[in-house]
Amino acid sequence: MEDSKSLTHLLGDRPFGRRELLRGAALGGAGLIGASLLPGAVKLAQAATTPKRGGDLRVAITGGGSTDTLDAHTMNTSPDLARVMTLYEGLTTLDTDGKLINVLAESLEPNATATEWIIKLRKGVTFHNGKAFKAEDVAFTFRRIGDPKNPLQGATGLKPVDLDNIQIIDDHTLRVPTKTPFATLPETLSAVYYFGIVPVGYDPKNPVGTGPFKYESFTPGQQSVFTRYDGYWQSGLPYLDSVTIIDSFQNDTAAFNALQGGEVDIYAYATLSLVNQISQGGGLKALVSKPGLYVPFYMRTDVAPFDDVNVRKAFRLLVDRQQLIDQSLNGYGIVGNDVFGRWDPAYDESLVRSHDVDQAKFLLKKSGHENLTVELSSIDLLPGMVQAAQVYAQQAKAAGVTVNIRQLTTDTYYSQYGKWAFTQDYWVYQPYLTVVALATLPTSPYNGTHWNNSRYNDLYNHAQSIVDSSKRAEVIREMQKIDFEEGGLIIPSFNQTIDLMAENVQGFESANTGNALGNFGFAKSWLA
Amino acid sequence: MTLWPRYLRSGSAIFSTVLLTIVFLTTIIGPFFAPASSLDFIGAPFQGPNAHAWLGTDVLGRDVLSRILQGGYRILGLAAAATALGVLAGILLGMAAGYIKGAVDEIIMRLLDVVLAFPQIILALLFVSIIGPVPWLIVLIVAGFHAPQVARVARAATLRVVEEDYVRFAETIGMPRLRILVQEIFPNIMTPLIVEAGLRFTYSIALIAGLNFLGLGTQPPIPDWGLMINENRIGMATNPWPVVVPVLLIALLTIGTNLLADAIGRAAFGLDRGSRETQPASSDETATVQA
Amino acid sequence: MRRVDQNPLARLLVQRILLGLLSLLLVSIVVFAATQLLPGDAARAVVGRGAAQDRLDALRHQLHLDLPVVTQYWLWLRDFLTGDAGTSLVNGKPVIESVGARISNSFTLLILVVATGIPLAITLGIVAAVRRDRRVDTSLSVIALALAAIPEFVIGIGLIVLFATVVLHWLPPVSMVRPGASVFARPLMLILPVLTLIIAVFPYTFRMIRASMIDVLDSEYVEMATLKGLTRRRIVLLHALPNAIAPTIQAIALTCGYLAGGCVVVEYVFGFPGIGQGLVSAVIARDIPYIQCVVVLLAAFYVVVNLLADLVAILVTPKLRRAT
Repeated sequence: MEDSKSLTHLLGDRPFGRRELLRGAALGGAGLIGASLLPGAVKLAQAATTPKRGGDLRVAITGGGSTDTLDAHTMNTSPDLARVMTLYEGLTTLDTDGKLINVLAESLEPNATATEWIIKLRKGVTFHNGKAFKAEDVAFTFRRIGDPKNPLQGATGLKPVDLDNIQIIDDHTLRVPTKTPFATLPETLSAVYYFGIVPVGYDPKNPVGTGPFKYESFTPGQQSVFTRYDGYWQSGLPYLDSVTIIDSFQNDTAAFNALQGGEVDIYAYATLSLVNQISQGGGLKALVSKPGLYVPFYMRTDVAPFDDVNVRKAFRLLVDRQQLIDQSLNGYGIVGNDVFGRWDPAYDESLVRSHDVDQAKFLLKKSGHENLTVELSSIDLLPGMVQAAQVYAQQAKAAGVTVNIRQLTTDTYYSQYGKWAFTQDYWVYQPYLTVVALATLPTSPYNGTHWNNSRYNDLYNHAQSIVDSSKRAEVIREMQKIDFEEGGLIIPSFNQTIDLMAENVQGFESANTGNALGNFGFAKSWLA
Repeated sequence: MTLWPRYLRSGSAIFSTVLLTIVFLTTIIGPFFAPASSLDFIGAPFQGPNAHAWLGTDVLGRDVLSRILQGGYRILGLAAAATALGVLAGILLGMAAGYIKGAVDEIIMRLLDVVLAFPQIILALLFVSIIGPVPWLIVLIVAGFHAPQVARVARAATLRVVEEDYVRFAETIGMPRLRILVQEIFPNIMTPLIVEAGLRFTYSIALIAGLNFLGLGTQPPIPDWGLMINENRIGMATNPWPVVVPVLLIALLTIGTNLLADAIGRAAFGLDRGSRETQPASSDETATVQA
Repeated sequence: MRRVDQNPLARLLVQRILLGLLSLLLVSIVVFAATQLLPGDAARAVVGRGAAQDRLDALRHQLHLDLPVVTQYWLWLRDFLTGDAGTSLVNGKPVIESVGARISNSFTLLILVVATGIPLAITLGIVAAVRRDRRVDTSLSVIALALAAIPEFVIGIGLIVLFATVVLHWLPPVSMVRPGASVFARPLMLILPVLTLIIAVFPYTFRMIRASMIDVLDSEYVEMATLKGLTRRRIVLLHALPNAIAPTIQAIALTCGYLAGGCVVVEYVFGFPGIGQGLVSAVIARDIPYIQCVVVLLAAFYVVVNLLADLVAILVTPKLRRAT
């Protein structure tokens, strides 16, 4: 179940301290392992006793702003993510171990050439407005997302799908043909924040989904309220009466103190150093996620100086990854090696980046960029991001590189997304090929590195035609080698996230996807 | 100068001098005694005091003591520059106004008073938000805030001195106006100006530290007391020292300079303590001429 | 009723009002100049270095930067006076909307600070005046001097250290208010920001009252009363207190004026959702219309308060003061 290699790495490398126990416990599931060994230490999220019905959960998340939205298919920030996960569900999703599972779909079967999928839907599901969930809704959702006149975020993911020729065989069966082979359709659809199913005639101003909670009220940059949907298909769930997501907090101190003061029950994506504070008691506990979230640095491969692969390599070599984790994440993370898709079964663990400042300096000199000065456009989207930028800048000095950090506001960053020469972003875990479609193809909407490698593109197309997953894995490994050798991403770590909550909050599990609160498992949560 | 005997007898003067000396030494000599670099990472973030880091580590795991020792001189330097510039400008303006006089002068002074007595932090925020946290800009802005108040004091002092016999005499014998200003008037308005400069210095420190605190002055990763207070707030309950020590130092620095300036003022004028500058500057006439 | 130009009091009044309006105009020009004219292209400042040309052009048009300067100013002034303070660059909504709620929150702070700080200043001011130059007076004056020097954010953080996070844990260190909730939902949250502001403004109000009281106690009328054998207490009650009205009103005006600027840093320190914090956020986000609106509103407040203070000083002083 767990990736035993990473567990050993984590526990075996350094002297066994409280922090190691903490992470070991987190990796071991619901956080029970080791909890009894920690005297007066951080209280980890306990396994549930008997869930209690009722209660209003208030969740604080920072990072919201004017771009806040309730639309199922245009999320931007972490509060948006939380909102989407309360209202909507997808055909598939990733569980807390990053494994693909079915939700609204009963099965998805490809043909031999991966050019057609038969999707069978779950029965007995209804939308918040009472309408029954049918095949026509799935077709409508896909077409809404992929509408060529107004393509939404998931449109790239659906590009291979032949939207015009989706056939509704009956109320719970669809035939989905594709224009090009698309072996990873189920994986792609697991991103609920891109592919949440909405009913025919969906109006984002009055959002309706199949999720455990239905829309109540919404003020962008302030808060949104969702109440229990009594017709939810998982009978008995959800337990809570309502979920309120508050994202008006100016900074992490404000959110944390709201939690301490009882203003909110949860502070999601909390600043990592706060964990030490709650170990001193006070009715709070921490849910530590498994590593999965990552915060890459983007280098634009089509702009000087990063158009030179030697400069890119140098920038990757000069990072002291463990130190970056220790200083900016308070140790909460595992080393990343510039390749994404960490929990994909095809992930190549043999690709390990060394920390070699001399080689970095040599490469810079070779490419005529000694004593380089660059500007890093940093952004405070998640705890640790800005700190990571500062640590990187400090480390870069050893290689003769001067990194000037320019702190952007959320609005500025997004308004010029993709244009910054050297910047940061954050990603949750998704299967490798799904991320490729989103980030490293010339057609990708989030190709902040402007990466366009023809061999890489060919490999991708080839992989999509392979229905057998182990054969596909071989091609994936080829692609990862290219990422590793030539890509424009620096992925120094896979981060753990921490959600701080009142002791009476129960039911959230530790996930490795990078989505807070165990993939926002509101359906199964309750208040003791 | 007859200043010194009275000065030395004042308890608060001695106290503030001692206080200031300590703080100044920390600020100016401190950097040479810092045990570690202020930029290097020496441990996990927000560790408590230990053998390697006497005051623990900060938000990024750097040595707090080193950052504190190196985090003061920039504030002092900028404050000194801003004060000097502002006082100089104020003296020139004030002397000119006081010597030349006229109704126009009155109105202009009044208008400038209200505009520039307007909460300065807001105007500072405005300018910095447009141009960015550039050191010379901050010096200019702060100097610009000081000039009117200094001008007022200089003008008031000039007005009184202008009536004196030796000035009248100099005018009668045909001394050029500029020479009169420099030779006769200036030396005799110096004392209230020195006191005013001291007060202005205090305010410069406060304003600059405040801008740094808001993130609109010195930028990370440079160590700065104001910036440190804000950066390390999140970890106050784990390691309070990167917040507590800069808070104390800024407080002591400003209290010290203020007490000192006040002590000099009293020694020079035998003034009733606190009767000067009852308001932080306003259009109210009664607050205008105190020196 | 004499005509305005014959009544010296009325003339002074009008003069002050005109001066106030002129100052406001000047402030609006300064604000406008700062945001529209300074080097460092305002549009680029909002958008950043990597901006695409068409986005820059669109923003310039929205901010009227493509029009002559004077026209820009006139447009802005006209809109502002008719209640249109522009659209926030951050959330695309009218600036006036979010400013309204913030102003009422800051106003609550103001009321609390005045209600507690002024009586304190009056009491201690009278005590210090009555026992002039003795221990009580000198200690109070030194304390006032010390407090006057310390920047407000230091006072604020210092109080947080003392009462909320490090030494004692009695009070919440942050005054975040849930959107839509009243600031009184958790009254404990208000204590520290109010305390910070009281401490910050105390030196000035204290000195003002003290100076006024000393003048009263030095007056011939009081001398007479003393000679006649009235007890100190009766003198204070009969003469000092009634004469405290004028300086009290001025102290209130002073507090209000001080708060116009003081609220900025203090609200930021405590995360209090007032107009000051709104300004800091707008500055950080380079939300030009928002900044312009808030600065002019604060300036107007400041000017009005000072005007009222001047008027009170003029009206009340000749009547109540019994000095010869």
